[in-house]
Amino acid sequence: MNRFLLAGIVCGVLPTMASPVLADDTPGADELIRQIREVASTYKSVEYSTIGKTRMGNPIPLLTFTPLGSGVPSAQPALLIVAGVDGRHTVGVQTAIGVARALANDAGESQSLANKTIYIVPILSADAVDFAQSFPGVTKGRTPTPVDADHDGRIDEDRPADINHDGVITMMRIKDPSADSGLTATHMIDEDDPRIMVKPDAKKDQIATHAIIVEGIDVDGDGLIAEDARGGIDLNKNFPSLWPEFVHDAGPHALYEPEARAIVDWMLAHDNIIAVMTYGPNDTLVNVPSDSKMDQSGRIPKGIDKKDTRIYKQVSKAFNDITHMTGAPKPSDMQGSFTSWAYTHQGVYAFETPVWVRPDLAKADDAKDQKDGEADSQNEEAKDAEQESEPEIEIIKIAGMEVEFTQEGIQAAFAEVQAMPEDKRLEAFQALQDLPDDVRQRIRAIVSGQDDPGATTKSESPKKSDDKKSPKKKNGKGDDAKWLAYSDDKREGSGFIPWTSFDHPDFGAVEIGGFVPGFRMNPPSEELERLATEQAAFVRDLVGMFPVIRTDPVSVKKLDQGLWQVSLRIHNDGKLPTRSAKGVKARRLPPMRIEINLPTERVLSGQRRVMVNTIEPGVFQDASWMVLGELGDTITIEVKSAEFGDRALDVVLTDVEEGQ
Amino acid sequence: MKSPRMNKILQRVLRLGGVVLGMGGVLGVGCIMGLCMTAPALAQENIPSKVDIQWNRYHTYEEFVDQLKELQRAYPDLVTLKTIGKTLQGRPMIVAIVNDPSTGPDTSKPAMWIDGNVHGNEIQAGEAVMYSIWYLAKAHGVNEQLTELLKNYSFYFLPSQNPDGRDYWFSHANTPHSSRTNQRPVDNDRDGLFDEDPPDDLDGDGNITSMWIKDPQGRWIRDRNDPRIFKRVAADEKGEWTNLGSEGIDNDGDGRKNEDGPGGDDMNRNWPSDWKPPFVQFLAGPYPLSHPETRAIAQFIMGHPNIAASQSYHNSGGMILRGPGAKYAESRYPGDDRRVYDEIARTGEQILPYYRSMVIYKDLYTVHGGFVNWMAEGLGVISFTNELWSPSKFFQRDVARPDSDQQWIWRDRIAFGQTFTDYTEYDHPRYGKVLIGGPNKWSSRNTPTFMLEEECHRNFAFTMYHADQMPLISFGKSQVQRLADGLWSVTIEVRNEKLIPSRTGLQRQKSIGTTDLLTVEGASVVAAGTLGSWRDLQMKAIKHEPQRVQVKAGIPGRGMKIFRFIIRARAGSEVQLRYDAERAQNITTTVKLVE
Repeated sequence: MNRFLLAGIVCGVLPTMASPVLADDTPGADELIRQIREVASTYKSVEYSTIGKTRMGNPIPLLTFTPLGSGVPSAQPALLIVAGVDGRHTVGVQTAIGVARALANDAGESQSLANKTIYIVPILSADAVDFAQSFPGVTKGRTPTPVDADHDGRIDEDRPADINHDGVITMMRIKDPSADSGLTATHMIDEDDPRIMVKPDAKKDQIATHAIIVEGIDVDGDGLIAEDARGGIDLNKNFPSLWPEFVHDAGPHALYEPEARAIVDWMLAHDNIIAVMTYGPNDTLVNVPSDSKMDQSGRIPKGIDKKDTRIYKQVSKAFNDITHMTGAPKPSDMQGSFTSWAYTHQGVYAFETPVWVRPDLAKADDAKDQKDGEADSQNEEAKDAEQESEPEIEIIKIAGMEVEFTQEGIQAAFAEVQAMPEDKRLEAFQALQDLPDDVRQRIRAIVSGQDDPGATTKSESPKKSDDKKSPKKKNGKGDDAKWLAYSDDKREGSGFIPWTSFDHPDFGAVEIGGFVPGFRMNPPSEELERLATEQAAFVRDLVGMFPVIRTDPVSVKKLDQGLWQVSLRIHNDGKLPTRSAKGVKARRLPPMRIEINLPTERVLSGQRRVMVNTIEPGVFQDASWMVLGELGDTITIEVKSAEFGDRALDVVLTDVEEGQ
Repeated sequence: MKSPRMNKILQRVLRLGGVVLGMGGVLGVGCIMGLCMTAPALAQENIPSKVDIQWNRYHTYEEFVDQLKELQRAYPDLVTLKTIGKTLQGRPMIVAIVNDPSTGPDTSKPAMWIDGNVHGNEIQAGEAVMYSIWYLAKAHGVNEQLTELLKNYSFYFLPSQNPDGRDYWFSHANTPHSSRTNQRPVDNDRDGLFDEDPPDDLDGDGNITSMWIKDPQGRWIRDRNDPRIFKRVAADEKGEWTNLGSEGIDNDGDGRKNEDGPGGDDMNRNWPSDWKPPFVQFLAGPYPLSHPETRAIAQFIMGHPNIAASQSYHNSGGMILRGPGAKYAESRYPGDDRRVYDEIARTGEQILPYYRSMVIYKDLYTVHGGFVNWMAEGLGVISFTNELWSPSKFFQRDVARPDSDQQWIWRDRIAFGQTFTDYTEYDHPRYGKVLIGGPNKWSSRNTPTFMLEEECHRNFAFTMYHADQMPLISFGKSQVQRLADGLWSVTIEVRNEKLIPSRTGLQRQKSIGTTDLLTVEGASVVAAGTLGSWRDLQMKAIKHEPQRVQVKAGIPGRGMKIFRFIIRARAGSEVQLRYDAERAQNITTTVKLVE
């Protein structure tokens, strides 16, 4: 009972405090939407509309840039920029607005924007942005939709809490946790910097001394701390691509949240989108996503299609030339994310960047050796003031296959092994014998239909079996130390709350402190303008690479009296194929169609309707027909394309070589 | 049969009393039984209904809607209609809630979801649902078993998941297989045009049949004795006819015919578990729950966590199907759930002659995003999908598939030629003279009307058996012991007399829904634990919240769990125990602290 009482007091004391997650001058959703509207009212070339509403009734704004040159927006190849998917990532929203201003400013000059459409959805979820700035109790960028994360019949009842009243929810470190605390020591204090917690190295005879968990108390007395936080659903887990079913913040089904459904419905109605650029916590530009992993059906990439890798590398290079980023969160398969959906289902090129990284990771002349995806340790080490029970999915190698260490992954692999020819199968089983005992036990359990005995406890995770290939185990210290140095040197120590003693109602003496949530995601406000300028420059580069369709004049050749050969050649003058390899495979849109408007019986050879899936940059596509006709007849050839609009070309049948 | 039913009634009496009695309670059973029985069983006599429905004919969706309203008017206490949404073309989606309000609202009991006809052409699936509502309503208060069933459980019936598709099947020319999808225009041939080249009923018989052309290169001949029969010739024989496929013309002039007909998406591929986009799962729709129909149904089902069993009727083939839809989803069927499925399906094979128990991906084909898969693999509900009508039933004996001669006996001698359109000549704009005719849309997948009532009844009987396996929990034996002054030990068992556990194996494994809760009120609970059996001396302690025990695995099917509470209270005081479960009726009992 008194635990509930205490929680009430804790929650009640500080409801009006500003969020420490972000700088004080961080604008709220209302102010951001005002700025978005302002862009549209300032510049004639920009139109404001909405694509739907959030669950709380906030608008989902859309800025549409009328293309230079001729044509309506929906008939020009388009880039879609999206931000505000993760509520913490305000730098993304601010950058999207900044990019809108920059592009509107030079709309009259930039040739790369000619005959292209730019759509910007700068704040997909105003709810999530507001929610991330509310206090206390929010450390994630989710929506405020209530969720019973621990399935105990009480909703949002055991939230992380600022129990020491320092205005921030950080972490608690508990020395030598007692047997009845339910905690296990997993970390130790770093020898060089006692602020940093590291995992002990058994080879150096180090042992774990501290348990580390998010700041809070066991409000509901179920033995777990902060297991049912306030809100919500992570929009970046709520899209249908590789949707992580049963993960508590992925939603009861894909597109459960109105924001997610709104942008999907809107995109399904806009076939002219060639590429998507997301400003969010993930990265696909510093590190190109994997092109070798597939889902269980074997047809949906966890990452990208091999045939698109070349394009992703080309775009990545352009991005790095501008931003000089050398480090970013390491690529994941981004299960259920917007970016993953846009690529794998919609079939458009989809990129994402966190926009801002720690300054030492974005220097033009920086040594390449820092580029090993260090910024991700913030997730790995659970320093971001959260305690999630979502173990990273492990990959093991069995018989040359990369297998996900999940029930479904293992079972699928097992089925595959059983279907192998005899010798291969024996080889695979032999390889299985070489795995460590505990891994073998877990696999055996899974294959026989039992629960994975190792699934809940991270400490018993199998080692990656292929030692040579698995990356060096990191304890996260290097990255923490760099962030601390940055906080100390450049941010007046504002990124880290020093450990202070606290008498905890459940555990007795503990220390509370650690990185300020969101510190690693958002820059100081004075950097925003530079970031927007950078991203606007990249947008110009990116649309400058867009495929450009050019048709030669229709050629006519007289073959005999009343018999003609009519041909059309179409070029792609851009630097990207007219459709991504994934887009071709996704079959969502009809191919480009080149149609000759003659009755079937007058077309002697050549398909009346020629279907073209994609045209590579610098390559052309021919369509040619042998037709019956009279001298002077006009024949119309139509080129129809979801992305590039429709055009009609007339040609008169004449004796003179080389057409009109 | 007698003794389990006696037990059941005994349990109910005990539970209604809210007191856990010892053996002495048996004495009271006889007289209370006398009170409970409203009418004797009626043996073979037909149970009259207040609503007349002919079960030897098929009904349009509009007729279904009228019948539902009539049923509600005739049985207002029992049948409630709820419009859960509208179809793409604006037809109402109506759920009939069947519940006996005298034992509580529908949401207080475990419920079974029963629907049909997600594929528009699979029409008898709709009749099977309507028949179930009709029969349950008329049998209530008359038939002992079904009256009892409705005391414990409620039902949600949706006669058609796809009213637009059903309507299209009745009102347009079709084959037995067409009108499966919804009516959303889809560009099937990817030419940028929608539904521009449908099949055409050229001979005007109301069906899409097939076209034949005389062809010296043909590989078919017409039977000398019966020209309705086309026979394939042997390799060294000369043929005379070529089949041109289904009836139609090249409406859009692309050189092909019938390549982009009306509709649609397969709404049975639009559900959230293991949903895959159309390039992996054909006709899956743009995203899970993208259709107004599927979304309305999902919202209703997610809003009713008391649903503990489900059935979705299809045709055809005589199958009692369960998931998984894909091989890699085997892990969604833990061993204890599989045993429940197997036992129900085994009994189903007895109730449904010529039906076989099958697993979708193994025995049929791989399905991503199927309805029954979402119910079973996403929500952990014990779910079957029956494929109504087996061709073996043509002859009521073990004929897997009647051969051609047998089919003609059926068509001519039993169906009197009604399922066949005779071949007539037609002047086709592209092919010239052709013959049009053949088996019509009624010819293969639908139960013949004179056998429809039996088909409906047997499937109804099977789903009622399935429903009767939903959890039914009660407090069983209890024991009170004084440990010290004011310190008591209360041990009590919670029993489930039915096959389906109060939380299925998948619910336990994936933490689906709210866990079961056993709470103690009226005293301070010092500690709690569980016992493996009454012989155990030590309990397995529950570490946290002894006053509110989370029972994550629920109460097993046909089994029990024993809980022990160490309680501080005065002698003679009473403590209340309460067991809350999403998929069982909540129960309470009072225990007096005396030795």
